[in-house]
Amino acid sequence: MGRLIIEVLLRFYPRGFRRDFAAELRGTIYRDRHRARNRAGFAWRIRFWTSLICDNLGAALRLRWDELTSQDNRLGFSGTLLDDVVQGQRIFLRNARFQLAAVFLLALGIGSSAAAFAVVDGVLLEDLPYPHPERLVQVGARPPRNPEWMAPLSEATFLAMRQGISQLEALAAVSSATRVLRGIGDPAEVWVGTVSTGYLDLLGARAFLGRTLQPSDHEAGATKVAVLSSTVFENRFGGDPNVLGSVLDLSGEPVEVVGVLSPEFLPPPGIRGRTAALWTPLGLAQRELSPILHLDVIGLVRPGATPATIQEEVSRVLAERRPAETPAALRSDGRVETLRSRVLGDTGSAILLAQGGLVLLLLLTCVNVASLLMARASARRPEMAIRSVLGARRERMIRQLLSESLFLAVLAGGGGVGLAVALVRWFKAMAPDGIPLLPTVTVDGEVLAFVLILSLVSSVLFGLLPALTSSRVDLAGILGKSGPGRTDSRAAAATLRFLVVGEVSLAVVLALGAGLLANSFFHLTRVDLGFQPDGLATMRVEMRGSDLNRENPGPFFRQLLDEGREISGVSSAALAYAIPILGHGWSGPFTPQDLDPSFGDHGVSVNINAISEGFFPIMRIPILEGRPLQEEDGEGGEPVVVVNRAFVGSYWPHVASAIGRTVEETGGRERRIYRVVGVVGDVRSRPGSGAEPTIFFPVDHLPDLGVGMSLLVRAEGNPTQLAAPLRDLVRRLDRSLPVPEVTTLTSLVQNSVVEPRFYALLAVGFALFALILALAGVYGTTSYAATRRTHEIGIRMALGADRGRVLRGILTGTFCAAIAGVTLGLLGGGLGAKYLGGFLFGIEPLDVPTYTVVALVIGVTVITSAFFPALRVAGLNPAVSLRREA
Amino acid sequence: MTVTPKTLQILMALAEGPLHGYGIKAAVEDRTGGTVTLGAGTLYEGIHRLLRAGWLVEVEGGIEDAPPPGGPPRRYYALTTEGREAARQELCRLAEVVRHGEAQGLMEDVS
Repeated sequence: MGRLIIEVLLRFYPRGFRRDFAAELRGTIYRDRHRARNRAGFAWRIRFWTSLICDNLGAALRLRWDELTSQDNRLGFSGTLLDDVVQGQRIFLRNARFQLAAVFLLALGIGSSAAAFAVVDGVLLEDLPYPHPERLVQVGARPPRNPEWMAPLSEATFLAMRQGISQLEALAAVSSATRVLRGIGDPAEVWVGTVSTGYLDLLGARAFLGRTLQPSDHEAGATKVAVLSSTVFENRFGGDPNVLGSVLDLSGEPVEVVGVLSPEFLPPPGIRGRTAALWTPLGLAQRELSPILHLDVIGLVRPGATPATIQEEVSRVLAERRPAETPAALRSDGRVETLRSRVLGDTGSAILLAQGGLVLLLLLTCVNVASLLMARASARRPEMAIRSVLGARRERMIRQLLSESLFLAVLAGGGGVGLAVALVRWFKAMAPDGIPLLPTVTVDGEVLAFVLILSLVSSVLFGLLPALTSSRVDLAGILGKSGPGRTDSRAAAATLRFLVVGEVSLAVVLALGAGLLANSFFHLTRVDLGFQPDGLATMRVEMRGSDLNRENPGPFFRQLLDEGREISGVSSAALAYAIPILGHGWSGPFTPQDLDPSFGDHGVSVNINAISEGFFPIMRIPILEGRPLQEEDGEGGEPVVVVNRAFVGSYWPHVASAIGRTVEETGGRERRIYRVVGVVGDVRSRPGSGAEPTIFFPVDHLPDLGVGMSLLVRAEGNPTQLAAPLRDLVRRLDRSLPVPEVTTLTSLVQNSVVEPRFYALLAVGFALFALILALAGVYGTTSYAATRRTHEIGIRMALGADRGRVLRGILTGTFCAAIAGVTLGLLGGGLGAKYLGGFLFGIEPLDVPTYTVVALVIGVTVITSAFFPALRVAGLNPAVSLRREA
Repeated sequence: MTVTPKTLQILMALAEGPLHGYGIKAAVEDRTGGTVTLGAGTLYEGIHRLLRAGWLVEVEGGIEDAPPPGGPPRRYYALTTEGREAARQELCRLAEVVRHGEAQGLMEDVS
């Protein structure tokens, strides 16, 4: 591609110069390029290409200018491409305002589509940054009740698969958990990725310092070691290489730092360990295997094998393992998917959608500039006619018009590159976390090439249409009967009207998309979460980080709760294992009494939460039946639970009252039976999701879960003011704990809709661009058409036509075009809206109010934008309007 | 022909002997420590103008500087007497400017 750009640049030089210097110039450019390539990095590439283009275009234009103005050449106009460009430049200066508008609009379109290209290219088309990306797969289980989920595997199953699947060349597993990191600086909570042998190698992770993990680290009796991510190495250890060999305290366990991973290593998004600050060996040989399903497993497919055939083998291994596994793993089929599709997930469609919007926008830009140039070209028909009378050939005139638009396109391309860089930067800053590979997206040489092609193609397109119509000069028509350029040819007027229809309909499609997404976002923010987040602050305390209270956290949490209530400004407080919006939830297998046999005989997996008394009132979750949990329900009392409405609806749909019924815990070592004492309202874990069946236990009943709890406080005033006293409280009660973050529930709720808000904003941005472009286009074309008819209108008014009639005459065409455009746009938008379905919440893709509002807003603005220029012409004094073109 | 800063750089690069185009570029970058760089276009535009003004001539290159295999033959450029004179005049003019600056105490902090 770069070669093509260089060759195109060389064509800009005058022929004589090219003959003398092209070979040398080319050689020098290639040597420069070679040097720029060795200095890897995006900034250098950008710098190289921009300076190359500016330098050569500048030199070429100066030489051309010299040639044009030097004595011996003045008359011998050599007739090459660049002469036309220079001519175009003059014409540009003559109509600066019009041309600037065209350049601006074109730059807008080119910039936005180049940015979209950069993102789509980087996220969807680029290979994953691992060795053999096309052969990497994720292996997991497909739970029958949740077939969309890639369920993790147990350690024993992973080992069995390593032995039993012949079509995989390698198989490796990863899990992750938070730990408290002590050693240098304050204690901090970090994510730790624990990996099987070969995991880091499979992803091609290299050590920046020291080494990565090796098989001997996993053996029984090996020293506990860890490898740091480059981020934590920079941020926490200040990039100090002496960290190698030091011993860190990881939740009480000493681990030796043996290496730092290179900054290029990007853990696969969507798979455990994506935010890992450090990596430790899973060490399956060092301990008893855990029955928990906690491993994400990736494999390297042997050449020739396909995910489908491997899936059979995976299912076979799962079936063999079944008798030994916990109930949660039962009846799951195997699931094998390429790592690529796992990493991209849903964002692929979101990005395609954004891309679709941008393509529409680009189309709109093209139509827009075409209509402007078209109008312009008609205005120059007299000039063309005179030239043709003086003997200019048609191809020469077409070339002239083409090179004028080439000049526009080059300017717009330059502006477009700037805009693309800005937009990509904005997109990366605004985009919600979790768009995979987005950090690797840059505006690189390929994108620049894309911009170049785009500007050239658009210049040809824009140039060609007006060139063809206006160079087909009807001499008699223009110079003869009606005087120079007095009225438009019917064909030109029809083309203009056609372009207006196109513009309006494209704007309607974009505005519809934006309207639907914005409306859906509005619904999302107003959804009833089932609890009242206002005025609540929360902090999470993980007891595994404590040296003092880890063994017996109960009294600590009790004290935390009691003293939390005493903080001034706190009106009430409660403890909970999981805060709905935070998603620290846990689930486990239970068997509700008289469970319908269709659920099987191994129980059902339900969400578990452990709460203190006062949780339901503080969250304002309604008690629908029975009573809430009370302090006496803790240790020693009868084992009781509260369930939510979704639980009753799912498992006891025909039962008159859930109170007094029992639930059996199926997963634990002993089968405990709990009695239901209350039913509470449903809570959504986030605005877009539904409520899931949940069992609430008293805190003290579940010592396993009690190691991490969130303290919730309701503030009398502003909940953010409670942050400092709450943190002080933790410091005072347990010095060894990492000091937790305090957040308000309102901000958590807002964060949970960041993604839909981003898409809505993006769509509204598109729609605004689109509306501006469409209005500019309609205004421009109407104003042009009206001005062109000044002479005719002058005559008609001089002959006594009244103003209203004239106005109507000018506006009728635009009215019809606007109505046709809106209708077409509504039809197109309606057809396209079904692709938006997955992004909409609370409204249908064919939401009538949205369609009505969009149609009205666009229709009215379009007609208004046509009204002003028409009014101006109709308001002219006939004498003035006749004199204007005389 | 006026001597722009970049043409002066080219003239100065050739003061010690003939060079080919890329050699001029490298010499300028070497001498200024990379603070002045000549883009390929600017470089050959300058050479073209200087040739036309008669300040440069094309000369035969040495054997040891054979072009890279497959590359175009290298053309060497040398200063003419007029070119040397033009550079001298421009440098004197600049020196004059520097002297004025010194006299006005503008350069005191610069040792």
